[in-house]
Amino acid sequence: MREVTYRDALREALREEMLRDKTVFLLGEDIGRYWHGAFKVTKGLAEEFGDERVRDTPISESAIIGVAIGAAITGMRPVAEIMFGDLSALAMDQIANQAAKLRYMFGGQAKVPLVIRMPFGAGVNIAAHHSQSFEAWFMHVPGLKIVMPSTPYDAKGLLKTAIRDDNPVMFFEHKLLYPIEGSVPEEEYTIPFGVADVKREGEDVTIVATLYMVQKALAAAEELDGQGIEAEVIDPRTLVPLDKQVIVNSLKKTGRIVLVTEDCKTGGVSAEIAAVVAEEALDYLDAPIKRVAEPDTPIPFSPPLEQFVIPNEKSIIKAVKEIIY
Amino acid sequence: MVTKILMPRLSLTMKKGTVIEWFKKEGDNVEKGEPIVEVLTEKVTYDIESPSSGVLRKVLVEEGVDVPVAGVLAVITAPEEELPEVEVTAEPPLERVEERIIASPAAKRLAKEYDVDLAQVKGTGPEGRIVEEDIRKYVAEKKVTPKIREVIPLTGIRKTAAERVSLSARTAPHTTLNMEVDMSKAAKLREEVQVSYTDIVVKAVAKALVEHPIINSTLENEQIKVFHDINVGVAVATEKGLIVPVIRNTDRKSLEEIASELKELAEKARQGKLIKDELTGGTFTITNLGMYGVDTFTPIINPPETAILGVGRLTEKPVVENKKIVIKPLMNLSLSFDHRVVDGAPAAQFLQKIKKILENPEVLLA
Repeated sequence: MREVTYRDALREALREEMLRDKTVFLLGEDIGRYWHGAFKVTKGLAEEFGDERVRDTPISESAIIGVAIGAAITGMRPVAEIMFGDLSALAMDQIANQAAKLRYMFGGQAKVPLVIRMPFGAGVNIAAHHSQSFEAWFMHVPGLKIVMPSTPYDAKGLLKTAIRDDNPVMFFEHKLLYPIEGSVPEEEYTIPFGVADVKREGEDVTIVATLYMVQKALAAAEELDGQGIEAEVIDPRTLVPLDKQVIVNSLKKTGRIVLVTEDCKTGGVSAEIAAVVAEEALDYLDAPIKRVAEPDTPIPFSPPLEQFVIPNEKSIIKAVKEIIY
Repeated sequence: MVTKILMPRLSLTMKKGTVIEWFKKEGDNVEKGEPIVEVLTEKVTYDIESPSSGVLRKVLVEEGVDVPVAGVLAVITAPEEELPEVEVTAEPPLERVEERIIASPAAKRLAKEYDVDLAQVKGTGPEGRIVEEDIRKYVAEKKVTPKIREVIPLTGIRKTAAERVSLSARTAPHTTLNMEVDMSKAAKLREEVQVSYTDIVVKAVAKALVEHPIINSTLENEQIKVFHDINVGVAVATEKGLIVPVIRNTDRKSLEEIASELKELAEKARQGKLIKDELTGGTFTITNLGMYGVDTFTPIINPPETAILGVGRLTEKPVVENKKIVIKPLMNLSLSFDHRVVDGAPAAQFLQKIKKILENPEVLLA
């Protein structure tokens, strides 16, 4: 199978969906022919589909999402790009109070087929305003679906499903994933929401990781393998809906679980998954649940300090060893 | 630090103890673990060891005095420490507190499944926590009761069967005799008359019982009661368990009559439709395991009867006859009998009689 970058896989999904469905259009800051987006995901699309369907917008996240919601409820399928996920805070009223609730408030007479693409995450030395991970915020808003692909294959398949979904989808990308290559088939495929993927099988410990942390978890698992510990790495791929069964089944096999997320530990996604495990599979826990997440701190600008706060192979391995006696 | 020495609870029922002898006196240095005082309960004497190192600052109870459980006997302090006010009265006896056993939820689940007492398992996790692996090792080493999949209450037919076979095995000294029978002619007869081997055996047994009435009997209150009627029961395996419908006056019925009655009874047995009269009054029982490939076995007598005949597999075997090897259909019969009622020889003669009839089955048509 051919190797494609995460960035190109996303672009393929956008292009194929735009070809398939004329109501699909893109909007965002500098995504058009002059800049192709901060991470070049929309490269060539304005040239192919025209400026009407690949629209550059003013620097107003609230306006971008507001426009997108209006378009969505009147029959279009907008894919909005927020240049940095952190800036979704500026559009939070539109996302949490409008997009997530309109279908409910209109008694099902309106639907909001909207995708908001956002790069999140730390590691590229751009400080506290451009490095955060907001998945827990959105996870706490009923009405939003949350997608977090960790590979080019998942990115393409899930983005196509997101565009075809009739509800608002928060589509998380990670700055460090864009250049990563992976196998992507030529032929058409989609990936359903709510189906976790076992990225690596193992008997000794379950590691649940999301987005870029899946890559770190896999690297940690590789190193643990050399030390006689077989880790199973599970990527939920979508947080809403969450595939609890695959996580619980894995725990039943291993008896131990480590949760690795890039958001802050307190009130984070790992807390939610830990609660699910405690509620639904307590009797299979042979050791305490371990969480590897960012400390409750802004992401530092200083590269050494930044590296210090981001979960990595070392902190994952340490957590695993704390519960393998 | 002030440490109180308390009257220990040495048994569940212990309410108080008596101070027998102080090994140390006030002002002595004591080491942790050193015997400090001997106490007596109803059952034993016991040396209380010092719970900490320091100076035996104050002895509160003289030798020979009774103290309730958890009452203060003495106080140990650090060498230079001031003696605080100490309540001499006994503190209320403490309820025995189970020490909390730390075990992972997974270990607890597994322990429950194997009915393992966690108190017996040594934990290897942090701070001695019992983990799943510890339970697995314990189960493997101690060969604990196998894991139970389901519990089936002993009721109905199973319960009756359990009681009856126990009664039989407990009261009747069983002996089993095995004998091989040439079924060549019986096989031919079976073809001719269109009956089953079981039908033939039932009829043969009834006929043999006529000539050996002592086998058709019961032992009751030191009396052997020989039955007039010959009622042969045939064990039938059903989904609910083994039951034994009875063919009354078997000896007076023809082979065909026996065949049709047995067919009807067996069908009713499988459907659970037998009435009480069809299940009682048996004087002898036949049980057949031949269809399962069993050659011989040792049946348990169906109480209060005196004997039971087990029928084994019918199979073709080479036999030496007139110095030549010929192939014959052979079948084993296993007769279990109550040795209190008859000895081996008469029982063997009875079995021999059955063999003789089966090898010359034309007599059954008479």
